[in-house]
Amino acid sequence: MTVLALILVGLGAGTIAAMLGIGGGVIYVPALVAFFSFAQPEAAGTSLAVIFASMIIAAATHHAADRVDWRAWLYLTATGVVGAAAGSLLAQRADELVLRRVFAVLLVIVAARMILRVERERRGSPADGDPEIT
Amino acid sequence: MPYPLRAALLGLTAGFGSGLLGIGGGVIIVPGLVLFLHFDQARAHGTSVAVIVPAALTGALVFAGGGEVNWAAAAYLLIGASVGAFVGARLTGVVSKVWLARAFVVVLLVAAARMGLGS
Repeated sequence: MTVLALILVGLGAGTIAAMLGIGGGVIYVPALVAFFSFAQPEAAGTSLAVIFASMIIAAATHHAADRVDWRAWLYLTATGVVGAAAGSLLAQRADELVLRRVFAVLLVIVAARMILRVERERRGSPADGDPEIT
Repeated sequence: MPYPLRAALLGLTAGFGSGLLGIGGGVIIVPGLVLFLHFDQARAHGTSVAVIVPAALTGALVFAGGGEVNWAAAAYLLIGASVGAFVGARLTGVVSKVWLARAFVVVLLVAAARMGLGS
């Protein structure tokens, strides 16, 4: 039963993650903690392992459809690997609660900006700061 | 700010957040690509997925070194996630960009609620 539940969580999270360009940790970590009684670090570690393997398949599929900008990938990866290593090491000693609250506020601001931009574009007027060819 | 610098800054921020909070980094990369580097929504999602692969590997290796990966659970999750990864990536090309952005905003708000309200 647990096996089937894990497979279904993977199916749902993998689909949403690949479609929306996220890893899926936002689904895996709370699901593992809430439904499978994982401790937070074990949930994060297991989530990252699944994300790595499943996103290889997603990346190959996106690449086949020409949706991967490899120049941007190179820049983001070169610095991303350094940032990830530093963040993982710092996670063991940081004040997690404060970090989470700050990060939550940032996400809400970003969400508001994204929705404003897409709704403006939908109405045919350019979002501010965008290069517009007329 | 020149493009390489903006891209590098985004990568550093996304990788750091990913390692620190145990998330894939996409919640930072996708908005960064769209709002900061002016990517098309679908291309931002595809590129983000490709960036997540090495970033997640780095994070996973650190956690695995600390014995914090449950390999049996990871294997079962991966059975479903492999199928989902293929289907989901194909859906990016089918769903309209407006709805991709709206769905992404829902994920951002869920992530924010989890981060802000969790203990």
